[in-house]
Order: sequence, then C-alpha cells, then structure tokens
Amino acid sequence: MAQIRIENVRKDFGSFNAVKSSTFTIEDGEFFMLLGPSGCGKTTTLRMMAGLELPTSGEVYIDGEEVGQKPASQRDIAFVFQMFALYPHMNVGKNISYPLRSQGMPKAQVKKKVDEIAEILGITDILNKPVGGLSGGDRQRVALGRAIVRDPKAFFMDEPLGALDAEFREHMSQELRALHDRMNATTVYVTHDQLEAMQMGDKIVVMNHGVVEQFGVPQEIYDWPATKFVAQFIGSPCMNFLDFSGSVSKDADSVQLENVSLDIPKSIDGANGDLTFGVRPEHIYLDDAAGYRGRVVATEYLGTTQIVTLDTPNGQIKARAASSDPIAVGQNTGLRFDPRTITLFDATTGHALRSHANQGVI
Amino acid sequence: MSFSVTEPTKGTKWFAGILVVAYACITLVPLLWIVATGFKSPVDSIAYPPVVVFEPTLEGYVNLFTDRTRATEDMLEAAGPPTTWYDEIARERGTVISGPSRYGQRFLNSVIIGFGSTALCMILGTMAAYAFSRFKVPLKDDLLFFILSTRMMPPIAVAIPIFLMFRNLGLNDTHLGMILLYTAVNLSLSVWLLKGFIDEIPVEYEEAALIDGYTRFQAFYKVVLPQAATGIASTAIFCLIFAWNEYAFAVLLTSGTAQTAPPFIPTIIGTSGKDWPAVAAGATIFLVPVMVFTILLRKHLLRGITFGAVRK
Repeated sequence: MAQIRIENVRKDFGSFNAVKSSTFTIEDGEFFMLLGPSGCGKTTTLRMMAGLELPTSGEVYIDGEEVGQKPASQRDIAFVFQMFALYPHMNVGKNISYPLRSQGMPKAQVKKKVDEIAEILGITDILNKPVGGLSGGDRQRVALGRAIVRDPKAFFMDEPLGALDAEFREHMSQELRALHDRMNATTVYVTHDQLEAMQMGDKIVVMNHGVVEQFGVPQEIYDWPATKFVAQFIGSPCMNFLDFSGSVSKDADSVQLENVSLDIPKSIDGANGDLTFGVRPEHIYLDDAAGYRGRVVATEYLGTTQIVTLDTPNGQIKARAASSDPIAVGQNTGLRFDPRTITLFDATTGHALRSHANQGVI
Repeated sequence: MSFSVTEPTKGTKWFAGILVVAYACITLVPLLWIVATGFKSPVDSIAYPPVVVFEPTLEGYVNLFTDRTRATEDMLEAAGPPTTWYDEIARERGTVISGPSRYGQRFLNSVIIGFGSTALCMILGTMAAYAFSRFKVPLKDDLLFFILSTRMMPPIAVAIPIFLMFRNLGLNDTHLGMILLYTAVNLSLSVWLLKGFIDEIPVEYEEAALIDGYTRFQAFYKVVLPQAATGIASTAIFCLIFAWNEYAFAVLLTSGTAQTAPPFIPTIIGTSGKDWPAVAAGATIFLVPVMVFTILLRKHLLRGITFGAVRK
C-alpha cells in the first residue's frame, strides 16, 4: 500500500493541453475521488498515475519512488476500466488469474489465490464460465477480482460503475467501499458523478479544464467551494449565485444587494466590482419579514422537500423548503439567507473570497 | 410510413430459402460441370447435346498425372500385361505410361507460393495494421493512402517493369520471387482490412494486459491476436484466393521450377489433343486447397468471439 503524490504534472496531446500543472497527494489507504465533468482531465490524470499515459512534464511518486516515465507493467498497480476490459477469450477464472500468471506464480498457488478472491467477491460458482454471458454486476466483480488478486500498491478505477444500471450502481458502490475498507488499499477513483464522489470518497479533487479547482474532504468542498465552478458542480440543485456590483472591505460582515444589507461571514479579502453572492438552496428561508424580495415562479415536489424557483433582482435562484410549507406560484416573498454559510466570489476570476468561515479550506 | 423489425413469416422464410437455393444452384452449375467433366471419357466430354448421365472413368485423372507415349503392337507385347489400374486405362487408349507428368510439381509450387505469400502477408499486415491502429505514426494518413494507392491500378499494368526487375534481380521463375510479388500485391488489402478489425478491438484490453504486468509485445500476441482471429482468418482467405488464382504474373514470370498450376493447366490441352477431362481434373484438384482452407477457417468467419465481453 502506498502514498501517491503528483507534482506539477502536465499533459499535452499535440496542441491540446489536457492537464495543466496538477499537484496533490493521496495518503496511504485513502479512497480518493477525481471528480469533474467529461473532458476535464481527470481520466488523463489517473492514466498518468497508472502509467498508461506518460506526463509531458512533472513527477508522479508512488510510495516515494518517482515513476513518471515507468511503464504501467512496472508500477505494481491495478486498474479497473469503465468497460471492464475482461479478456473475452478467457473464462472468469483465467481472467482473474491473468496478472498472477504474468509473474510466473506456480499453478497451485494461483488456484488457491483465485479461489480466495472468488470467495470474497461471491463469484465462486461462475469461475469456469466465459465472460461473454455475464451480467453487468458479475463482470464488475470479475474486473475487481483481477485487480485485487495481486495485492497491488494501489487501485485505480476509471468510472467503474458508469456501465451499470442505476439500481445496481448503488449496491455496487457500497460493495466497492466495503472492499476498500477490508483491503485498506489506496484507491483512486474517477467519476463525473458528484453524488458518488461525496458518498464514497475520503477526499475529493475537483478538476475542470485540466486544472485542479479544489482538493479536500467532501464536506469542506460542499460547504466551502473554492471556485464558482465547484459551487456549481457539486450539490443538486447547485449553489445559487446572486450577481451584484459593489464592494466588500476587509473585515466586513455584510454586503449591500439592492439596498438590502445581507450578513456574511467576516471577510478577510477585500474586493471591488463584479461580485457573486453564493448560497446553497437549503440555506435560503422564505420569510416575509426579510428585506430581500423574490417572486415564486415554480415549485418541484421531491417528497420530503420541495425545490422553489424564485426570480430575484439579481437572477433566478432555487431554494429548498419543507414540502409541507404552503408556497404558491406567483407569490411575493421575503428571502432570508443563513449568514454563516455564505460564500462570496469574485465574478471575474470565479475564485471565492477568503472569509473567517472558509479560511484554511480554500 | 413506419418501419418495424418483425419476425419473418413462414412465407417469407420459404421465399428466402428458395431464392438462396436457386442462387446456389446457378453458381454451382459450372463447378459441377467441371467436376463431372473430370470423370468423363474424352468422347463424352465433347458430346453434343451434352451428356448428363455417363459412365465415370478416371482416365482424365490418369492423363493429368502421367505422361504417355503412343505404343505400337510390338511395344505393347514387349511391355507385358498391365500391372496397375492406371496402366490398364492407358493401354485401352493404345498408350503406355512413360512417367509422371509435371502437374504434381506445379501444384506443389502453387501451394508453396500461395500459402507462403499468404503467411508473409498476414505477418507483415497484422503488425503494420496494429502500428497504424495504435501508435502515433508520422504522416499516418498519407502512408495509409499510399498503401491503398498501390491497389488503384490493375497489378498487371506494371508487369513489364516487374518482369525487368525480376530478371535483373534473378528472381525470375523462383518461389521467393513469386511469394514476394503476391505479398506486395496483397499487402495493401491486408493492412486495410486488418486495421479495420484491430480498430474495433478496444484498447482497454491491451491496457489491462499492460497493467497486469505484460509487455507491449506480449499484450499484442496474447490479447490482440486472439481478438483479431476473425479478421485475420477472413483476410487470409482473401489473400490466399488472390495468390492461388493469379494467372497473368504467373504466365509472365514463371516457366519451369516455380511455375504454378494456373498457367500449367491450359498447357495440358496442347500436348496431346484436346484432353478436356484432364483439364477438368486439373481444375477440380486445383479447387480443393482453397476450399479446405476456407472450411477450416469458417468457424472464425462466423463466430463473434468478442460479443458481449465489453459493454458499449
């Protein structure tokens, strides 16, 4: 098991810059999520760690050893592909034992090991079957079996649940997490699904356009996004943005929107010009006494909660309210924001302004 | 108007079946004619109207494989009674067998050159196709177009330059020369066909093998080749059929040691009258290897071995 560190890693494909100077550290035994929209460079980053792509510049360390230019076969890692990539001309048992046979392990030992893995994954009864006729879940288990059979230094998984049905995905994600905890192996997991990332990950890196936007534990990233992109990408519905022109001085604890003073966590940075007031839907309360006004344009019923869409002078926002609250479309209402949870962004750069609340996180 | 996929009805199934059988019959008639003619006597073979029911004889095959001389009464008496069944057939025509014909040798040449060039073509073609499919090759598109362009004129258009080149290189009438020539002609086809097949194989298989501790070359022959078996088999059949049937270059560039069967078979006509049964026998035997080869590889042609192993 190993710590993985990447430093200033960059990857160009011709003139296209897929990954721009990424740096982060994955601690030993961590379940680490690389999250981002498609084309953001997360898979390329993973493939560079695995040795399937060589970085244009920068270093990759596995267990303290620089492996950036080493081929995949010498890195002692395992990779689970989105499409599973089970060898179609071999049966389940052969697929799982393939990495062992490459090391020239004696047959009896290989068999013992494969049986043991099959037992863990609950696939003993299909060991002699061809992989062609297996269900998605069984293929996934075989792919996992092939990965864990070798006790590698780290597991790399590229959207391993992406090919499964939604219903089964839930089940498999729990199984994966349980397997990780049992093996206590460093796992790097690529996904574009923010829920999956929040649910399974010990730590998350959010990437966009080849750049690491934020790095941290799920709760920090959710509560204190470092950029507008992260705020938008994580959470469903995403964080609301109220754009305004104004200024915030150092140590200010309120801002002026439409001549209404709104409380914010005490600011560290000062800024002037185009700013964005960011607030999560669950931190907006419909309160007629509040000075800031909005008009309800739609409601979506979600069982325990409802999502209320409102027009405000600073743009449309969505609030989460209890579904028992009587809210009518067309109604004018006051809006109160939980002042402890507000993040201000510089609208031009998209970066969050530092405050006493998000200090140390971003 | 809407289209939908439905189970064919019994009527359409029958109709399709009859159509296929009829088509097969039409294409098979000339083939059957050749096979039948091989077993006819010379008289039956040119009878008009053609005879469909006849007494089969192996005379054609005996004539194909032997050289015979017309014998006088004295010679026949001196030679004594016929010792073998083929001697007997020759005697009935008033000839004695003077030795084996060159057909066997020519047939063997066809086998060596046909299968040799096919094998070479597959080895080079698979590796080239793999490289074009997987690696960043400078000027890839131009190279691929260049390879294809060698196919754009009939090969025989360059017969004279090739003839001169072969003469200067001492490749005239050699097995090696013909193998190289047929490989060169077939290579463009095999590179393009195989590239198509290899492109279809997800690159993740190799990457999985690389991660599993195999080298690039091991991944190629342990994972890619078994996956490409279908493509390799069908490409090999195309290459073999071309090399096997090729006539023009064979006439031009071979005359003795390396002569293949196609230019040899017509010469049977001229050596001892119009011996159609012998020609037909030669053609029949000539058909067998390609047929056997195709039947042997038929399972690869039909089996979709990668089916269902990757979810798309």
